[in-house]
Amino acid sequence: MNKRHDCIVVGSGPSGAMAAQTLVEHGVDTAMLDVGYTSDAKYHIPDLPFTDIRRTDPSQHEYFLGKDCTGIPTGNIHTAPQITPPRLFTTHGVEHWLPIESSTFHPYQSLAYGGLGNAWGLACFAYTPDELHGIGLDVSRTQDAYTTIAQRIGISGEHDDGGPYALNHVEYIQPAATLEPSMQHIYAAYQRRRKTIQRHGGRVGKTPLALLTQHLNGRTPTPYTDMDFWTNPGLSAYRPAITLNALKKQRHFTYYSNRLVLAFAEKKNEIAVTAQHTDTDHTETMYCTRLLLAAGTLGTARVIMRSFPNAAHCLPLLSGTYHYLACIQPAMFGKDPGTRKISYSQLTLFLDEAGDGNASATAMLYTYRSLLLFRLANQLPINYADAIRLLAYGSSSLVIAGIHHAEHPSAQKYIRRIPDASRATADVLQATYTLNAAERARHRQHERRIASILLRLGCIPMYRIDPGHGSSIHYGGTLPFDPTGAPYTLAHDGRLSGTRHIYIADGSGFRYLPPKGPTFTLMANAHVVATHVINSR
Amino acid sequence: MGYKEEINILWRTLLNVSADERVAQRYQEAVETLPYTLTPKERKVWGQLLRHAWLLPYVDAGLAIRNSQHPFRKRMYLALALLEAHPSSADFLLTTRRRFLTARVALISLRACVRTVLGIVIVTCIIHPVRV
Repeated sequence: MNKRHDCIVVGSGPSGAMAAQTLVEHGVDTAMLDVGYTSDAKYHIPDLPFTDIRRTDPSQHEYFLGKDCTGIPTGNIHTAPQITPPRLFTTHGVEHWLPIESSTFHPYQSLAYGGLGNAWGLACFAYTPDELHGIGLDVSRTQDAYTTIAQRIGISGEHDDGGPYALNHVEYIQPAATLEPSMQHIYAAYQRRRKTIQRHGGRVGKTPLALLTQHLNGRTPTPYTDMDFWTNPGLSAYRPAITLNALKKQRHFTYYSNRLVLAFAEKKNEIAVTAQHTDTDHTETMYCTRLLLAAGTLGTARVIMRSFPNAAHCLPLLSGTYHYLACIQPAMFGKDPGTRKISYSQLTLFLDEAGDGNASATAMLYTYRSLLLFRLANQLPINYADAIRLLAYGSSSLVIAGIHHAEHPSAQKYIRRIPDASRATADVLQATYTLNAAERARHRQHERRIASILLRLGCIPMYRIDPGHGSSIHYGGTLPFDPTGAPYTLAHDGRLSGTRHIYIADGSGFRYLPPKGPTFTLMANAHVVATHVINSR
Repeated sequence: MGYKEEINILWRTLLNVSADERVAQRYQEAVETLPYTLTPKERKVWGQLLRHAWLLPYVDAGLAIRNSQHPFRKRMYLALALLEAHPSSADFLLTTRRRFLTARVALISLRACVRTVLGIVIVTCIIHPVRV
């Protein structure tokens, strides 16, 4: 018998989970189609601080390096260090099911239960009205949606100098996590030199995080064990799986795993959705009256291009440009970094060159300890014995600035679908992604200004790392919002132009990417799109 | 030379720590699983290097500049990863308060530079011809 539902949601990442929750809360019969890989390996990670685990657990190699040491990064790849062995399932099966060919773009994709939300750094930036307008989103609806999402997932932060760039008017914010000593020094330096730094366009604020500092719906506050990249005790960090597990208990929600959605066909009164079973390889068709695609920018683009094979040859692409700047903080040299800490970014530096309340670049500040020093030793051009000693001596004074730049479309940023019978889905994505000279110069200029502000904050920039395009895991822009209704664009309500009931609830519609993590906005947008789906019934 | 002796020499070179039987087993499994295999010629040179372990930091330093993806360096990297994920290295790697810290950093930096210069010479004369 054919399976029929009111609405089918494709993908279980942050967007899919939020959209599904909104639909189910309004009583819509909702099915989610997802591959949904989970971790095969079971790791027994003690509920202890990182330092205690390092000193006492004889089995720590199993989760720090992975079983059979397969989690040790090889080669000169600087990307996604947060995808640690317990999270390796996040990218499982991607090469087989989601092949991509490119020499200039190396994205992260996921077929996991909860998608790339499993490796999310938890930063929750609410975009400013100007940024939302530039993206093509409804400012008022999205701002309301931010508060709805904040209530659902739990966000900690502070309405400090970074507030206008990070939180705007989002309500229901828990207190920010306690700053560790290194970040306390930076924050104190900012307070002392606030006027000078602001004159140079800098604002520093506590990073809003989807990390609990108070109890919420049975989840417990962060225990400050600095084990955030390896485990999630008390579910203090929000992951989409938390929402999915709750939805599975709801009467109106059905979750289908092992389904890779290939294409859809919109007919008179229904939509046929074709999915391939990833375990048996056979295909299946399901039916719905509303289809909501939330498979991530690249996943959704594949589905769209397969569904309109004669028309869609090429789609634009946006990928946030990201660089690391490794810094030394002399004030922390030889000091105790403290045992109570979190592994996520605690402070963000916003570069507002124009002074108009919109950041032109941001630097998220991290300390480095629980990801282990051997990864850094591999980046130094000296022998390992001396490298590990120098890193051990200087680890408390190490600050990493992750710099995000704004990204705009251009003719050198696009993807195309190429039929290829040798692939599991009979096609492959080809991507081209290059910046023009003006973009590169602008990024360099922003980085110089950020470096000069970091110096004023007591951090000496030492080494710049360019992990390449795709490493930010921030993608969008393949089906940009366009009120004219041109082919392969989205209407203001997220509906795909030329269709009646196909909605896109991920970053595909974003006309540009602001220089801040998009996940919070993706979730808010998914909620807004799901609301439009409900209203369209 | 067996894996136990090999990992012991590498750990002593890296942090002057001894490896036990279980670590040796882990090292062997990883070498056989990961793409860290050596050609017969490389194995011969690697064996000689382990017998003259004082040379290892110099070769490592030279390879860091000349060929950071060389299999010798990968094996040392693997040994370092195993070392850092073992309680025996915790006290050293987690302690940040030390006496004469600035002097220590200066001396180790100087030593690293010397090892790099000599290492490039050694690698150019010995390791690189083997690779060719």
